[in-house]
Amino acid sequence: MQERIGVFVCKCGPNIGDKIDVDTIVNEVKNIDGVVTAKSHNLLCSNDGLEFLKEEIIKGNLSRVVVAACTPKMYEQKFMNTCEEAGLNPFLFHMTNIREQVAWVTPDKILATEKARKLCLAAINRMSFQEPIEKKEIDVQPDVLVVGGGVAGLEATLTLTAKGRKIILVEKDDSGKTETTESAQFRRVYLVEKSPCIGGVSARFEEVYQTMECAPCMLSPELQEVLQKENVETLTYSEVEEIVGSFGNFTVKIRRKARYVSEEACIGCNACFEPCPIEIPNQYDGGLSKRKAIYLPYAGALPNVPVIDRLNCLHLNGKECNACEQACAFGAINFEDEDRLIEKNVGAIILAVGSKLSDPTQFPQFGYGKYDNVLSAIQLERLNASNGPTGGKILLRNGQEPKSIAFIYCVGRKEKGYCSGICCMYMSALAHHVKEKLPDVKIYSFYTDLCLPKKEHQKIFEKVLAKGVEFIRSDGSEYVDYDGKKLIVKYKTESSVKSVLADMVILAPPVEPAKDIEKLAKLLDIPLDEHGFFSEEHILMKPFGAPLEGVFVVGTCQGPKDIGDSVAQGSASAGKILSRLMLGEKLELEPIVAEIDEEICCGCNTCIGLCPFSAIHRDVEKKVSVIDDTLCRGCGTCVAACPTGATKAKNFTMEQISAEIMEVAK
Amino acid sequence: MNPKSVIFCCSWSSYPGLQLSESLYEDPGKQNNIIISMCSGRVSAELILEAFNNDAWGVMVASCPNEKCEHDANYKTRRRIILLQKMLEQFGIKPERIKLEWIDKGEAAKLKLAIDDFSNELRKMGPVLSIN
Ligand SMILES: Cc1cc2nc3c(=O)[nH]c(=O)nc-3n(C[C@H](O)[C@H](O)[C@H](O)COP(=O)(O)OP(=O)(O)OC[C@H]3O[C@@H](n4cnc5c(N)ncnc54)[C@H](O)[C@@H]3O)c2cc1C
Repeated sequence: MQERIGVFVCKCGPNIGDKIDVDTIVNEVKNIDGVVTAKSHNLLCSNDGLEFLKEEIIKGNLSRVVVAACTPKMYEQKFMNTCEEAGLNPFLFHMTNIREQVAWVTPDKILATEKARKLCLAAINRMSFQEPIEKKEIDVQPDVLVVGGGVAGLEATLTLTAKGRKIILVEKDDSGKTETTESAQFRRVYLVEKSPCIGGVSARFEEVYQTMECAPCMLSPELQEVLQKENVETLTYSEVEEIVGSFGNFTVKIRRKARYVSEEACIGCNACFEPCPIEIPNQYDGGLSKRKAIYLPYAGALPNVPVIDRLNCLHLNGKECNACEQACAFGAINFEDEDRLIEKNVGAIILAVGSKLSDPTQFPQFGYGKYDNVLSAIQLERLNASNGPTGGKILLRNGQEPKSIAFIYCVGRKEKGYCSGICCMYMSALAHHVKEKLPDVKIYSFYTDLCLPKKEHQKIFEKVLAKGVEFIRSDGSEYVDYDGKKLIVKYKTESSVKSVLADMVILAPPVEPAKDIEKLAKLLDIPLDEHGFFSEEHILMKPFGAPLEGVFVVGTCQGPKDIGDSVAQGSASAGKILSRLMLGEKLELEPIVAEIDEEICCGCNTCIGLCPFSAIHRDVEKKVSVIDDTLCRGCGTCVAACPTGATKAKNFTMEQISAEIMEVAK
Repeated sequence: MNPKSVIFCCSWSSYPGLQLSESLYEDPGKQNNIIISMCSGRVSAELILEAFNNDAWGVMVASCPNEKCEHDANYKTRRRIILLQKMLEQFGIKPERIKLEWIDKGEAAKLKLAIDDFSNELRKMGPVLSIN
């Protein structure tokens, strides 16, 4: 059948109209074989223009449509929709850009017209090879994977699962009778947390700025709610191992590490700790206390089910010991437990794996690791916590109360090249708490710059000043020494070198990316920024969206921030997902995908290794490669690599592009 | 004679940049013809050869910069292009006639500059002598 091609050239007001001789082009292309209509329009993207286009398609019974106008990045979709409304498959339409590519960059009208003419001819030439593409839809997968159970991940989880949705289905049977069925649908969230408990770092702090509230008290209702929610599956002591797919349709593999304690049977009495003969430093207390091989990270950790650390447990290392098993009255210990791999299907992924404080031994001038009473801020947080190693008492290693403490801010800021933004506040808050507990203690706070940007910050700072904390501005070159009895903090001011004596030194090291961030970035193939945090899609406009659709990076894994900002991002990411992955709806798949002709495919597997989306697998029986439509994004890498030409990129076929090249290079 | 080139632009990175290209006037007389491909990954050796077959003086592929391609197809394209350059050299086509440029979203000015430079280089090289 002879194609009936329509060509429409938009003048874009004066933008194209003044720079290109549109009429000449229209008159020429009219005569091309197959072109039945060629017309210009003053502004094709206007409602008027779209109506005109639709009428022309219907009136001329067009089977192919070319629009020469602005960049397809602007209104291609609009024009495709119009084609569809006129009953034409939108892929039988092609748009060529004579504005940005020609009118705006070619001052000479004759040359511009010649260039635009070529582009129009290229588009028309392409038409003989244009093929209809059917849109495909899949049921929306509304479930969400949240990685990391800190404040950001928890908030996202609760927002996502706050409400289900009633779906009302109206069906007509053959006799025309309508039948209405109602069903409730709920979104499920899989909350994957690496450590044995949820709550993240902040759940371990006694009092947090800006409210000076007890963090465990503030968080535990949320933690309880998450744990009890029917549509939240909390997978603690678990890690994500594999992610394939794309927005609306990810498949994830999660490794549930063997806990060796049954979550169903354990009632959390903790009777198993005492008899365990192993003692090692507890990393959750910054190493200030000891824990057993069967342990909870800290008292009150949720879920209240211990884990056995398989590296250190005697039984699990072939020795004869079953002390915990004997102590358990509920038969909850299970030495036979094994890691399990769980597969889940989700529509979107929220990464909320948090951050950590740098190891202060990287900055040797402060004597951390060398002198006992030089502590990292996180250790002081634990000393200050009533569930911490000293039951909330601020004590030196020898068990005595300090008489003087030096707080050193901005540790490692120069080396890292960024301000962590939270240290000024939490150090001030800590100084405040210490002063409450030990009113006579002398506190020196060494800072280079103070960062107090939020509306409550100044007030808190002034409160701390009023408590008698002495703030000393130095140039950041503090140095910690020890005279056998006391720590000596040497510092430089503008004019001289000075020093103070202190019993204890508290360091605020930089907030740096969590350990596993690189591994996760690799799994998803998303970028990290220059400091190693997750990159956001756009730091101003999309500050928590990863540059991969359907993936969000929230909380401190995206950059240092406080609890309020982490929660805000958690919530916001949930909002984005709620507005896109609607329960009970369909999700349109990328129609422009690649396909493999199994008659031609030689089964060499080249494409499988190259596919960036893991969308190609081998059909073992047929010995050919097969593309999964739901995963393919149409990049065409497989097409360029296929040695036999079995792979075809829809809408970017060899014939289509060659037809364009032929005209433009003429 | 004016240099004639075919520029393949990635529809996800370099091409959207053009949206902002108002007022970037190029020298008159050059023939640079942009063809949109889904991703630089799609630009196969065959497509590049096709351009030469149709008398192009050179071919440029504008792809995402280092680390910016969400799925690293830019690196795969680079590998392919290096190989192709080596091969074409044996047929008397200078490797410089195929150019890979890394252009991000919104870098219209850089794209323009790259195209201009390429055209100038091509002008010096002249058309490809027949290899048939
Ligand atoms: C010493 C100190 C004091 C602070 N004081 C205050 C304060 O007073 N007020 C305030 O507003 N903010 C304070 N902050 C900041 C606050 O702690 C953070 O803003 C907040 O914890 C960030 O929450 P998050 O959910 O992003 O990350 P986190 O709380 O770090 O939680 C991340 C979670 O992800 C888990 N995780 C890590 N890797 C993986 C993985 N691969 N897979 C699965 N899970 C993983 C972790 O185990 C953790 O549970 C302080 C920070 C520090 C370091």
